[in-house]
Amino acid sequence: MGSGTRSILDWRGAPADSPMADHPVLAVERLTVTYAAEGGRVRAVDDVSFAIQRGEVLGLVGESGSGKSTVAAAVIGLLAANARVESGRVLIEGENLGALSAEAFRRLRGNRLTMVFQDPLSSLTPSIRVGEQIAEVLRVHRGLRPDAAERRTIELLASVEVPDPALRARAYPHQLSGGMQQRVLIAMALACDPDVLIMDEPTTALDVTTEATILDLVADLKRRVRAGILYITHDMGVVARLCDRVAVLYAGQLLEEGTAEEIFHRPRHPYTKGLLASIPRLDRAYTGKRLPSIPGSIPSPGALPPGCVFGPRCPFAAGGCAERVQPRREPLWVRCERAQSLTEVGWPDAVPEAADAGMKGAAPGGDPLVRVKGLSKEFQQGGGWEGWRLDRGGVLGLRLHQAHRIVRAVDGVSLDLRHGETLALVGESGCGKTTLGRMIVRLIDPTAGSVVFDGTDLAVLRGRALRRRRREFQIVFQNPDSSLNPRRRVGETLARPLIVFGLAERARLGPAIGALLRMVQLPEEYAERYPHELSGGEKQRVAIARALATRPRVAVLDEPVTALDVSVRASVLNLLVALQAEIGLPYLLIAHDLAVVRQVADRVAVMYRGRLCEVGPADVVFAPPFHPYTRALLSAIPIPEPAAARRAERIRLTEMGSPATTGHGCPFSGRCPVRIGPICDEVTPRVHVLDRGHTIVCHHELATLGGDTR
Amino acid sequence: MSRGRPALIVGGAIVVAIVLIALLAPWLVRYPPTEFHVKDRLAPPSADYWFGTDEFGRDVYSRVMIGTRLSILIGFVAMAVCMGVGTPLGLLAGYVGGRTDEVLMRGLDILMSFPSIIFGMLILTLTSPGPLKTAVAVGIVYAPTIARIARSVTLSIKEEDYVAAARSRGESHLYILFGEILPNTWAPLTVEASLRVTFAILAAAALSFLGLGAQPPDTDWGLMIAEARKFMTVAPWIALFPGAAMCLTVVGLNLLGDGLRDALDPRLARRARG
Repeated sequence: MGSGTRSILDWRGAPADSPMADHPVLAVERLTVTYAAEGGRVRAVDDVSFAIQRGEVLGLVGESGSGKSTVAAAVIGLLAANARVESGRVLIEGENLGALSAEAFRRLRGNRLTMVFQDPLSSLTPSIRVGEQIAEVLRVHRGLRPDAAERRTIELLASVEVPDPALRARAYPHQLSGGMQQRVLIAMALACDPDVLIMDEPTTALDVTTEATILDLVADLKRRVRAGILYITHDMGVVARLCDRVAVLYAGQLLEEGTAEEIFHRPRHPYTKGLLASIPRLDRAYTGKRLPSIPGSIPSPGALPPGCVFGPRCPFAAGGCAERVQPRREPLWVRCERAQSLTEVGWPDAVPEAADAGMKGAAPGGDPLVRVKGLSKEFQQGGGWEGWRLDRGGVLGLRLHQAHRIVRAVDGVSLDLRHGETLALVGESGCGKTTLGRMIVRLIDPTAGSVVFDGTDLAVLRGRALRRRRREFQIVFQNPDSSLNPRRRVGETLARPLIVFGLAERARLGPAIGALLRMVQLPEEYAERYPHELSGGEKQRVAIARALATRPRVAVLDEPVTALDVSVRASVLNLLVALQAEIGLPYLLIAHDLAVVRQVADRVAVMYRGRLCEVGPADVVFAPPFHPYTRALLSAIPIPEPAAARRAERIRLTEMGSPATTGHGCPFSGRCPVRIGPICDEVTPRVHVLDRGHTIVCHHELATLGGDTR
Repeated sequence: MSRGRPALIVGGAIVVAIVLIALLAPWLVRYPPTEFHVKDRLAPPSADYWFGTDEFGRDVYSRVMIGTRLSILIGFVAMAVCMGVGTPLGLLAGYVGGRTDEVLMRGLDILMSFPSIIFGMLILTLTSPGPLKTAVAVGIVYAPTIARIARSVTLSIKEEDYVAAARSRGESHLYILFGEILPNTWAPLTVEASLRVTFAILAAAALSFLGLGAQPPDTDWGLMIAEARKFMTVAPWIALFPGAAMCLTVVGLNLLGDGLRDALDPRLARRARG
């Protein structure tokens, strides 16, 4: 990209008249926001203060229900109708936004104060070309004439590294990939050279490799724009990569604030300590498969603890500190009266269990329990009335025929799953990993291939024979909200598999359900509850109990912790590990989070566009030699450690190109940073078989894959 | 649940009151509804005849009370037919999908393309007029709407993971349809049904007005208005009171439907987002 396009955002060459007074560019002072709810008003944001300087990125970190999006909405003046600012002010360059008229605020918003939202597709108007949407901002706020606005739009798109900006400006939102859509939104937010830019989880909806490129862009923008950036996220890895300072929000309160260095190296509030300790990390060696975890779950805004908001989950609570409301304490700026005495104390380690000993790294023994061979699934795109075309030809000179586009979601995958092991299936969204998992439990019928389990090919079983075997393979789904029937009590949900497979007499259902709930560490009284009375983590525990109720011999776990809050992920992962240690159940773990996989998997299979690139024991896959895609995935993961995150070199993948046409070549060739040439597109890659069943599918020599591939 | 939901309370109260009137009508009348008071023909409302009298001197108040029974009965029977026919069709179309869905829904599209009154008249003239047949005809006329709603709800629910979990247990289609999906369709269907009753009552009244519903000496509001038509200018009360009763019923049912929608819609459930 030329320096000419870059200069329009380069604030070091900013006009001299820009007001660089002493005021921070954004100041939030003692902000309290409540929502109307049944039975009174609920406090979503409680006495929150922070300030951002020009060119600075403040990370506002919080889990769902922490109030982080409410803070953003309050700043930008877009609170929901049932929300009310009870007290506090928001100032931009010392100017109180609360004192502005609605008209003045409207002129400010999208101009000096802009925001990038989480879901790029729903943030863009679907029926207007993206370039026009950016140009409109320039015309409205900057009064540019149409031709000038168009020129500037293309410059802006170039500055956010959209390739072929003039062409992309004429695209409609749905014609762009998620990463491109997010770049368009960032360009729009930067169009008027804002003072304050709010980014609300801008990469959460994106794939890991796409996320990495957007994070690179934001890190680069930080140096080029004059705005103060408020970056809202739940991902500590993203925070470490981007933020200068960090504010930790929990249950509506800022628990602690400090520089990124301080927060990551000397966290002072117990919640921050717990959060950092419980994140699975690639750069840390663990002895067992257990993670330190934070007990309990996030309080809902309607049911906050009366004293310290983190009190009920805090292992350091002593002397009744949990019963006292914790105000901000000035010297350390932490809402914890014990913070000073805890400076040297780390979060308690996971309790090791006898059963864990020697689990990790133990060579998975025995014959494979499940042998997946050449499993494939083809989907037809466009059925029903779609796809009919009139062509020349046929007897009457015209011919009506239906054109189907065949999509191979899974293309000849072979895998083994052994007793007591966790095999992780890793890949980005759309790579076919969920389809593969669902074929193994026969929720989807395979097009070809076999799943041999105990001498029987499950892939060809039908009707009653299949129904009888279903008890033996069960699945846990990603989304706990969708896993449980909202009209069923937990007890009824758990009773059903027991009844269907005749595993408990009706008279003994009660005790059996109680045992299942105890197994997933839930109180037996939960049998009487409805799903909406449970937190996300608790729902997922019930879903796990339902899957294990049939005493399966194989469990497919489809992203079991992805939809959960960061602070409850560790405890659910620990539960899964403990259950496996207890009953020796093999897991097929479908995941995109390599850190989680590293933590709990014995073996890893990396999947790209329906095919496996690399399979092997976890420690081997996570070390060279790598398949180029594995390497890119690994380098894309944000590391929750500021120094390392900034040091780390990333392999930037181009966004998804068009699918390989021949169907023979390497599926990754279109994005491969070390593509050799046409051979990659046309010839089936070599299969390198290494020690301990480590397999890499690539045209490169092993020596090349092990060394520096760039 | 009901606090802060005036629509639900007011609508519910009106509907309960009207149902009570229908049930207790024989005790609420002041004269036998078919009794002629020849010297008091077309009398305006008075202490003797609260709502006045009609061309034969029959007490309009008593007739409105008794007419409530047929009007409400037809409305509710029609709704029951409508739900009974529409829900299974919609569930089936949504769950099975593919060709079955296409055939069922295009068939229902054809039904919906007829003006509902014409279609009701068609059914009634092919058989013979009568209040119960009116109810069935009206029910069939409105069944496609219910089927569409049941189908769209089913389409989204069958993608839920708890349905996948049921399939992974090898549950029968029948269990999945009635055990897992149906319980989750009743909330939107209840709302729709409570709104549909009003259409049914109005359609039934229209059919009665055309002489295809209630047959004298029985009466309902539609028939009363039809009979009052000739005297609209000299004795407007004969049409006014059954019309007002119908209006009140429709308002009550609509309020109830709106209230139910608010109360049952999970998106409006209390939840402060963070």
